[in-house]
Amino acid sequence: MMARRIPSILPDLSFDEALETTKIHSIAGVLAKQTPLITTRPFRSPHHTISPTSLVGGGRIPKPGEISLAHNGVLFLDEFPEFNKNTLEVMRGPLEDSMVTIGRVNATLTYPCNFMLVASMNPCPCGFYGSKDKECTCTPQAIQKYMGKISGPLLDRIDIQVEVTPVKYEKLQNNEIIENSKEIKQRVNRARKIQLERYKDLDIYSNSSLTPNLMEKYCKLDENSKSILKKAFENLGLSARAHGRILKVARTIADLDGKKEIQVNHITEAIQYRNLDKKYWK
Amino acid sequence: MNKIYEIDDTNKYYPIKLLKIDKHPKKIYVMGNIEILNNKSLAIVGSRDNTKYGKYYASYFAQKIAQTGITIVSGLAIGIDSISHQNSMFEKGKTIAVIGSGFNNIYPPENIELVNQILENDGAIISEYSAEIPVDLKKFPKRNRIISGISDGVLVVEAKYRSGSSITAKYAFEQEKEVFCIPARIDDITGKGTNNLIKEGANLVTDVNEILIKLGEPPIVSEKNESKKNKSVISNSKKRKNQNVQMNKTKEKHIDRIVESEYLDIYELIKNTPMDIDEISRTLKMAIFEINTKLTMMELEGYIKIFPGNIVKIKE
Repeated sequence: MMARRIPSILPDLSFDEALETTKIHSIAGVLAKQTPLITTRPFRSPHHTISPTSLVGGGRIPKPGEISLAHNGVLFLDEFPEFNKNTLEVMRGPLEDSMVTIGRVNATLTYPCNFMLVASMNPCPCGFYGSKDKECTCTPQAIQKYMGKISGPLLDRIDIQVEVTPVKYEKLQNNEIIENSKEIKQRVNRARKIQLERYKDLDIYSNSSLTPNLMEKYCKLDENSKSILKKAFENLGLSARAHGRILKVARTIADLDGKKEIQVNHITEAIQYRNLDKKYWK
Repeated sequence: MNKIYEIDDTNKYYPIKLLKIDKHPKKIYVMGNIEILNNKSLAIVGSRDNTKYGKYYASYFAQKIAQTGITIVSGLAIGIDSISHQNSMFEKGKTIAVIGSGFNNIYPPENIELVNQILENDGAIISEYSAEIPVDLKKFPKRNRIISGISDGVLVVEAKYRSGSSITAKYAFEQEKEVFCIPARIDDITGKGTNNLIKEGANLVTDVNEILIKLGEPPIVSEKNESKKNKSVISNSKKRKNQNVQMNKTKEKHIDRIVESEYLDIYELIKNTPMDIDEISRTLKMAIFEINTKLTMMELEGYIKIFPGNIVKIKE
């Protein structure tokens, strides 16, 4: 339910991005007549029985797959561990490079796939592992097997990992004032504008596309933050890839906060978002 | 590979207590020390996902009981069972593990190391199945009748509602053995089973001596009483008082030593009852991201650990 709401807070599509996305949809032959130009970010949610080929693209003359159709938008994989393991692993490269090269006898094509991967999963086959209200009936082996379907390298590429606890009935009923999608979208657009402004001379649109060189320039940390990050690495056993990704997330949190430099609370929040693997995958 | 003894129910080593139970196995397979099968023994069983509370009291009771020479029996599962085996061995006590599969298929596999330790320490492993019988989880509850059968009493440390430990206790009731339970808080999932057993007539225990007396063993005389006997001079007791005061002081220091003031409110909140992040946020009326920031710092400093279900606990 939460993931379905994501399109409502995505930033508006810029003109260049709209053209790119439209081109891919046109090639794939899925462009609808009534929308000759795609002006909203695509949201793709394939079923978990999808094959590796239809996910990344393929065919005699390779056609774009779901990841390319989600270019500049969201690819949502519900029930993550239910996907075929091969299907998930083929995404590793494209996730890193934002493009995918498909070679066949007749043609070798490269399609862009700058998508945001959103995935959801249960903590165990019965769904109650770690729950306070209901007992989990799975054996430790079953839980490990379930978690094992998501490989470490793939998990490492997921920047924000959040565990959510079940919502209680009273909570569905209460009238606490919460931010709605419209307000969030304004915030997101503001952050996006800061990024577009910052990277206007470069070839990129957002923080996620920062290269290591650019990160040195745009994700500067003060001494205090540096020492915290160092400590996090020593204590939490993070990988080198995680380092860059934490920096990018921290940069984005700072942008959302409207701050020019990354501050301590931004970096600690970014670190907290990577806590799933150390709780479950050990 | 250790020798496997096949003992049928006419053998002199066959545990007499086991002979008396309903549907006793015709033949048992034993590895290790077969002399201890007829010892006075107490079974300590409990939940596989134990809490800190369960771990503490399983260790405590296993050690104290093992010190008196009583053999500790358990089921070699992870959690409370493993803790009981290990702690009985700390005190050089004998321990017996009853497994629900053949010796070639120890379950869970990570406890093979524990099996070796038990054998090294003159303990025994019992199974009613021959070595090649594979692991079949459906058979496990059946082996619980042997756990209670070869013991003089059963201590349930932590058990969920309708768990394997409750089954062991049920067998113990049927076999007219003493059942002991450590009480738990009403809202603990791992305490539902034990509290129910108490309702059904199990002995609520808070002290080792309560178990020992029921088993017909001399109670342990506490060190306090002993020292009173030996030294009744006033000056000495004064000295002791001073010592006590000092000890209390260091204890307090130990608890408060580290926590910096900015983390203190969270630390105090979760010190005794682990909470999930949402609950902390609601209680302290702080935004989730603020809590997350603080928790990250606290985790890095080593005060806390976050568990599945977003549950925050103080690091031991």
